[in-house]
Amino acid sequence: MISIDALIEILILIGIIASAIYVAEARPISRAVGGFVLFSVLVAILYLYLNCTYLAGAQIAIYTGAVVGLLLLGMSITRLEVPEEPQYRMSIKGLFSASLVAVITFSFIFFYFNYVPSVPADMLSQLIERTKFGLENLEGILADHLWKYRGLDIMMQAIIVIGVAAGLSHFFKKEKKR
Amino acid sequence: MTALPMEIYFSVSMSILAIGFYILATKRNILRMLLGIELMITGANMTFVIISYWLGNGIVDPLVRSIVIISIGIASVIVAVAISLVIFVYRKFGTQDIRKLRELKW
Amino acid sequence: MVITMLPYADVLVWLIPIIAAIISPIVAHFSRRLTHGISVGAIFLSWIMAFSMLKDILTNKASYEILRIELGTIPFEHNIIWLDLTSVLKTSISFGILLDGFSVFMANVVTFVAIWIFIFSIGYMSEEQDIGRYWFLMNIFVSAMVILVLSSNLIQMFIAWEVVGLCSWALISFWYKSMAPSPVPGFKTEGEYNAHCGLKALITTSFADAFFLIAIALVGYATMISMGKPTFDFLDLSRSFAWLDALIRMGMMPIFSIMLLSGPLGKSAQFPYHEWLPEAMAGPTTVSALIHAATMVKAGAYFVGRFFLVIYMGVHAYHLTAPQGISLFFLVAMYIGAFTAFLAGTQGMVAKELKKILAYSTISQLGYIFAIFGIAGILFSEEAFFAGALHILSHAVFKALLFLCAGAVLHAVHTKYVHEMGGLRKYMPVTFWTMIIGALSLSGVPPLAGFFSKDAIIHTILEAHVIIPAMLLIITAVITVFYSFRMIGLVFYGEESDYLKKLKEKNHHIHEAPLVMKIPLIVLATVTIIIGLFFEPIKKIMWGEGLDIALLQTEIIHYVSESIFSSTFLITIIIITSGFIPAYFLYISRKIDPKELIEKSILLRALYFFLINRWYINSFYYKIADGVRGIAREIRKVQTGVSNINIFYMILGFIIFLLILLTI
Repeated sequence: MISIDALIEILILIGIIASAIYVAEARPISRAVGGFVLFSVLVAILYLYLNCTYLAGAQIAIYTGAVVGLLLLGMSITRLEVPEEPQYRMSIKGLFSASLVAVITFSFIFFYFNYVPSVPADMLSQLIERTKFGLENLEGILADHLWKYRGLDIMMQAIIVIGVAAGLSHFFKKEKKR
Repeated sequence: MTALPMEIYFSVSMSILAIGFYILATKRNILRMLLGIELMITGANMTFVIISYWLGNGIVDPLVRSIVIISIGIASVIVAVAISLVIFVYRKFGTQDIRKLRELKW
Repeated sequence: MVITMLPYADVLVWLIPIIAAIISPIVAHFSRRLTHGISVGAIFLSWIMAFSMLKDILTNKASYEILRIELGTIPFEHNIIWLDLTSVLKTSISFGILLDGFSVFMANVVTFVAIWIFIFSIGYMSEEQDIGRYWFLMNIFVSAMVILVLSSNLIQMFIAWEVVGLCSWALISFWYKSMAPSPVPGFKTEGEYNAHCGLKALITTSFADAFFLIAIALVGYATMISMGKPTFDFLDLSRSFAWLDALIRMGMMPIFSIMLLSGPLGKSAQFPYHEWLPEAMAGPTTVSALIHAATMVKAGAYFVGRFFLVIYMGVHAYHLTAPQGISLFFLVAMYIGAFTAFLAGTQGMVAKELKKILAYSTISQLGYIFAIFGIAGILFSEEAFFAGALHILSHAVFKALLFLCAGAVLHAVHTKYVHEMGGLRKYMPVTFWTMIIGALSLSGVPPLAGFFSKDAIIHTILEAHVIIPAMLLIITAVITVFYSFRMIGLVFYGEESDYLKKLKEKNHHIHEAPLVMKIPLIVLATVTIIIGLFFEPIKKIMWGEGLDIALLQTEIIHYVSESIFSSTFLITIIIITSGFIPAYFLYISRKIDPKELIEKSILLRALYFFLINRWYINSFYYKIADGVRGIAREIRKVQTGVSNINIFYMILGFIIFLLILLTI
């Protein structure tokens, strides 16, 4: 009756709306932020479904990564009373892990279209039918276009990601008693 | 093209915008309102992509993708600045309820 | 006698004070003396540049002689294109300098008086913390004023007009942080009162300038439909009067004249915009001397004169015929000027603060200038125009002198109320004598400068056979003598008041002004004595008729004797004596007590209350302002502080706007 494609689409769309409503109505803020994570991941999957692979990557990298990170930071700080006991001193380790995350995200953004399979196979066949360019050219043409004309945006977003990672790592330092 | 009719996609993205607006107009917590702003931005991005997919018969225009990428970048900056404001407000006024924050500094 | 025009003098005149203004706040952090030196040096250089332009006016040929660059004939202008709008409006807005007799004359007046005021303010503001801000604003003000008088088109003049208004606001509210108790009920501190006075000046002049801007736009429109491309340039406006005919054809000439006049009325504090000047005395005295006596308030009179010159040059140099409708502008200027002179003079008779007396006197003398420029416009008379320009010069000098003397008195006594002073003659001799000279010049006593200019005005008015303005001006002349000697009598003669006795008990000695404050007083007093004799050569310089030094002496004697033995000399003598005698008996020798006079007669008491409440005009304006504020307070309730509601209405409005856009 309903094809697999339609089922997947219905699930994605219902998931998007449900998580948006959950963001609006959840009582504790942390659960709302969690709902927002789910929301952005589902939106990224939707972008993938609509053949915008690069957008999906940007959506995941920035929303799920940077924005949620900032929100978690904001939540933690606005609940923070004056700390009684010292936090864990993780500054070197935090810096290292944060920079590792940054490097991976950076390389993901730069080189994804060569290493990561982007679309599921059946969707790919539909793409071959409708596209004027032919399979082996569509991705390359899009990527070339974006890299030539939008390279600066890519680099700016990578800098934002790195900056957020570095900033987050700062807050893992031990809060000394003053 | 997708299995479901495109009007449903369009209405979903518009309703994301509407939910974001509902959060902004109704809720009191500042962080939740920030989430609402993010929802609205995501809704707008989704609308761009969906309409381009609809009118472009299954191919999303590269210009639209560029616009959406820039919009995502700007959204992250908005969140960064807003978080710093939230932290400042919390430190100065000790509350997260915007209905209590009614006066500008005189 | 006059040196030749220095290279780029017409640009350096206003550029040097700007540079000094930019440097001053930075240097003020290191060294006060260096800031003082920079500002005074800058204004002195600026005056030298302005003075050097006189020779070119004389010889009718502008050139940088030292660099052997020929520029052109007087009137000369050079323009730089600022906004190139040729694709849109067939024109471009340019910045330019116009050199002709009147503008160079005004530039000289402005910079010369400013030198002595700057030197005086070294001493007056010696204990001021924010001296960097003060010098910055004063320098910007002087350069904007020079740009105003030298500007070649209406748009640039309007821009400089607004900059001058801005500096005036900033300088009146200079002591906005003062925590002393407020002299007027309704404000918490004196700082708030000062800020209110500055804001009152700004709002009144801005209201007047709104109409002025509309009139300037009308000029552009009229030139566009009549001459093909819109132009605001003064020389272009005088080359062809097609724009005036276009305005008359559109039926907009009366409205245009009134709106064009509104700007000068606002800036020069004439009726109905005269209420900001007495309040503007809340600023430092040097600011009052520079801005509200010598220069900024002359900008309005300058514009009326410039407009007259536009019409006059069209008629005489290009042999056009001026349409009849333009005389409405000058007619209204004449009546308003004469009425304001009378209005302010009567208020000055009863004023209780020293600087307010001088403020009313300024409004009154500016009324004279407006009246005489009005007559010049109606009759196309060169004599009348020149009388007005002369009165600008002499009024600038003696009013600055009087304000600086008042500043010296205020500096010594620390009170601004005239009834708390008295008997200061033995403590401050230099100030006393210079103030007497200033008051004599204001009253028009020969052979000081005020006599020649006022005599020329009265002579011209009587020749023009306009009855009401002539009567008003003559009565005002009597009142002028009265209040100037009332001021002298209350401040310097008589016994010391209780306030002064209390000061002496606190061991606060009343000292004469220090040397740096005495020198400008002496210099300005000397100038006002001497310059009266030089009016004939000044007239020749202004009209570019060439100056022969050998004939100078005979010309001066000829001019002086002409003035003294003219028909109006008798009238002048009557005016002076009838004003002086009551003042002498009431205030100087204190034979009759003014308070008893008022209490005895109901008529005098009613008159006194009418005058002391400023003809109830001020309270009328405040009632209107309170009404508007009440309305605004009710409308403000739409803006609650709750963000949710604001966002809701914002997006609601956006959606409604979109719907409207979709249906159109």
